[in-house]
Amino acid sequence: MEGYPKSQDVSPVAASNTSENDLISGLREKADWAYRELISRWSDKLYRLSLRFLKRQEEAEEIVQEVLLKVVEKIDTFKGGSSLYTWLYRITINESLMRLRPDKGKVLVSWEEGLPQYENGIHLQEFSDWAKLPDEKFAEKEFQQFVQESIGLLPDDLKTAYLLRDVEQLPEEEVCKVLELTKPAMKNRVHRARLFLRKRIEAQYVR
Amino acid sequence: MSVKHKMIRMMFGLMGLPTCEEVEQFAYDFLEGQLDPYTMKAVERHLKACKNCQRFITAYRKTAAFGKTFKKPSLDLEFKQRLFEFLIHQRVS
Repeated sequence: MEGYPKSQDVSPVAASNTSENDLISGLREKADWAYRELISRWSDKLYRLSLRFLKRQEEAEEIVQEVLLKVVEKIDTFKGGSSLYTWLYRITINESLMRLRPDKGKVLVSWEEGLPQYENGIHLQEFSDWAKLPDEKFAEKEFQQFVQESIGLLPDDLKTAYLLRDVEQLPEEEVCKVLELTKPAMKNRVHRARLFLRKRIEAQYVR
Repeated sequence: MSVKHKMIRMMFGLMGLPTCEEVEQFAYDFLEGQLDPYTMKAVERHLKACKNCQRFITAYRKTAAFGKTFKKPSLDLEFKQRLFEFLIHQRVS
């Protein structure tokens, strides 16, 4: 066992040089290099995604450990029909959502509150002017905390689509594959999540 | 329906433009540049005529964009080392 490389630089290089098929073969052979590669290539991405759901570092670390253990244990059952990332993201999302379920203290807010109101297709309300909200505001800790809390109020299906598309910036096709959605269904979820967040941010920060 | 709304609705209808509600429904594809050229032009013309929808689209655009400004935390190397050892240990146990 060579141990885990001490340099962060190893991961991107290794990631670009090893094909997914090679990595899967290496994992099936239980090779040290494949375990290192799995961690280098995926652990940060899965950690970030899990952290968006759970917000607690320790829990997100546990999820990464559980997901990667599941992957190395079940790699023989992995079928080539989908990509490894699809599988990894799906397990991470499921494990994270399972942890969220016991959160009985969560305040339930209807996402429909975010929907604009219309009368015969014309807006009933006047929107505030977001041009007054400087982009620098987005980087402020307090603002980000408010948005993270607001994301936490979304129903799981909207939250997951929003996190993958707008936060993790996955291409549309990949979000559809991970969530097993058609493109219109995926867009609809992201759209509704944006409407909900827009409304909450406007009420809090834009007057 | 108020007189004001009736007039606005009539104006959009006469100009062959989408309603505010339709503009909202097109917002995702509008931002992604995924509307067909005819609909794209119609939405742009609506936006020129409707200050409220201009504000809506500005807000929607910013809402869609701030996700990418979130911090991107990563695991420290010590954790990765422990994780590697854990996986190796599970392999042999």
